[in-house]
Amino acid sequence: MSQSMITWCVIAGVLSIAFIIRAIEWYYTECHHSGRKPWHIIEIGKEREIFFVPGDLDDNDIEDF
Amino acid sequence: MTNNTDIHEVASFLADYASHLLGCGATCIRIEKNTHRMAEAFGVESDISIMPTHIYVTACSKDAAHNGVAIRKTASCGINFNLNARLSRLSWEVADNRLDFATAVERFNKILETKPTGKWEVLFLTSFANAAFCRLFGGDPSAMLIVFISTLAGYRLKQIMLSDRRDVRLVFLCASFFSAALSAGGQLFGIGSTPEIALGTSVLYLIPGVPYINAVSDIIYKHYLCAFSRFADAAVLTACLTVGLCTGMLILGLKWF
Repeated sequence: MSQSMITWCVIAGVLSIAFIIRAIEWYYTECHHSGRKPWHIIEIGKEREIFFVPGDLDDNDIEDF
Repeated sequence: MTNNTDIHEVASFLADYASHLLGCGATCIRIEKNTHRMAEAFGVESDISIMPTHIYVTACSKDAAHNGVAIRKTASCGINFNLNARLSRLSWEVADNRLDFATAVERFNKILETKPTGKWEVLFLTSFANAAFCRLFGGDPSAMLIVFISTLAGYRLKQIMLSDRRDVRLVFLCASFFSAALSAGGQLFGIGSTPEIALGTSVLYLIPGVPYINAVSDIIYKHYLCAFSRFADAAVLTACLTVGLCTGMLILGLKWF
């Protein structure tokens, strides 16, 4: 098996794993967490989650102005 | 139209209407004609200015005693020909059947509630269409099957990433990379007699054809700003697509020519 074939298998594998993880997330969100925020095993965080300063508004806060 | 409030309502409605037409992929000339047609039917004079991301509508009564201005951001409804056709039909209904303003607004709101085509339907139809493209370019049945599978995977990835609100340029790059890499399997494993056609046609579903066509139409009707904006958007997406395709070929060690 050549290097190119191994690379192809890795790419196909990564994509398949991504779809499987997505399906598991969807199943978990739909069946166990209905009505809540989508549940993710891996996700890219928002900037304000990294640099949260006490007093900042988050998604659950209600803007009363 | 008898007073300023009515004129403002008409201007707001026309601006909403035009912003949705622009958002769903209508050309500038269509937006102009449709809004003028409706304004005429409502008995007001109107003028419209279409910018790449905003719409300005001015409406004034025939005697110029009352006027109103409305500005709307382009609606982000995605390219949708069903919505486009239904909104255009509404303008003809208003003009031909002399619908009153309240009925027109009611119908407009009803049109906006229309659900888009199902994602699975779109996914499979796009994959079949791309496989048909492969056949048009001379691909054999195995190449068509490869294109079908790679489009299915790439388009699904695109749907997932867009639903996660990822940047559209990153989405195009990733989708084209995976589609190209998967379709390169035909060449690597020696499947069929036309694997190069499968590789070339596997990313065609990502070509932003509507913005390119609309850009040409806008140039013809002298809407240069919109034309340039649409062309630049489409060119950036095409560049991302190309980078994804080339990266896939480079990683898998395929010959360029």
